[in-house]
Amino acid sequence: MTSIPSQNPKQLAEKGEAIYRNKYQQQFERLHIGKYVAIDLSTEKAYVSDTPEGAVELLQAENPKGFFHLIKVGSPGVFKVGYSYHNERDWLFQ
Amino acid sequence: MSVTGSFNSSGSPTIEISVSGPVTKPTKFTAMMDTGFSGFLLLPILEAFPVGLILRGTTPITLADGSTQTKLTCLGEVHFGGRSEVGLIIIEWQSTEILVGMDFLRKFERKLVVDAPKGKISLIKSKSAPPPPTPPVSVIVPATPAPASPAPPASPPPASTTP
Repeated sequence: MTSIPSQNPKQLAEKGEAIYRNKYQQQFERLHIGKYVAIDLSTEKAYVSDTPEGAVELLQAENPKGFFHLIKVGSPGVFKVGYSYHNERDWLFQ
Repeated sequence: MSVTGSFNSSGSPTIEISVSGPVTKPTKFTAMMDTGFSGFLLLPILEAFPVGLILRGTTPITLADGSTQTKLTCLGEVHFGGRSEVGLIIIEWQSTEILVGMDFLRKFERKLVVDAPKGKISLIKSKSAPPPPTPPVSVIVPATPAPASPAPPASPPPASTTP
């Protein structure tokens, strides 16, 4: 199995979103709404679970060094936080 | 069993937790209890490095203004109240606050009691949900053959009362 691809975090997240959008979104939004999906960026496989750590553990059991992108089916974000930013930039992702 | 916390200088409830990575010993932190955070633990990136967390993932989070931002994430183990739980840790670059959220309370089966006038925070063990009621069981006893003993003499039929 391959490990972390040589891309920055923003590119990795975009790749994960693209894999999900193209291969899984339509089907998962019919079958797994509200569940968590970990996308293995090297194999493009998806692992579905009721919990976020459950999806990641399924992925890591098969590919311990795999880099993942985690999604909640039907939601823009996996988690919600009670704060927002004002004119600050995240150097990792922007 | 109840675990107590305290208020920080800005008046927010805090608790003591320890966090460990795959190959490290637990590191102690004071974390703010944030019920507006739906996740398990949010850790500033500078705190995550000494813990030895291996950042292997990304995930989008929804901010209070409705916008979405992508964060680095990983699995990590949190120790609290004599228990350890593995959960997803959000790594935050822009914040210096360590937050524990609703998923933390769910995993550790705690309810949060904030007594602001007395300056007291308690995380009380929540009674686990009662098991679903079991349907009444019908016991069917199979008919057993009569023991092989001489049958008692048949009682005479009741006398006929016909006139």
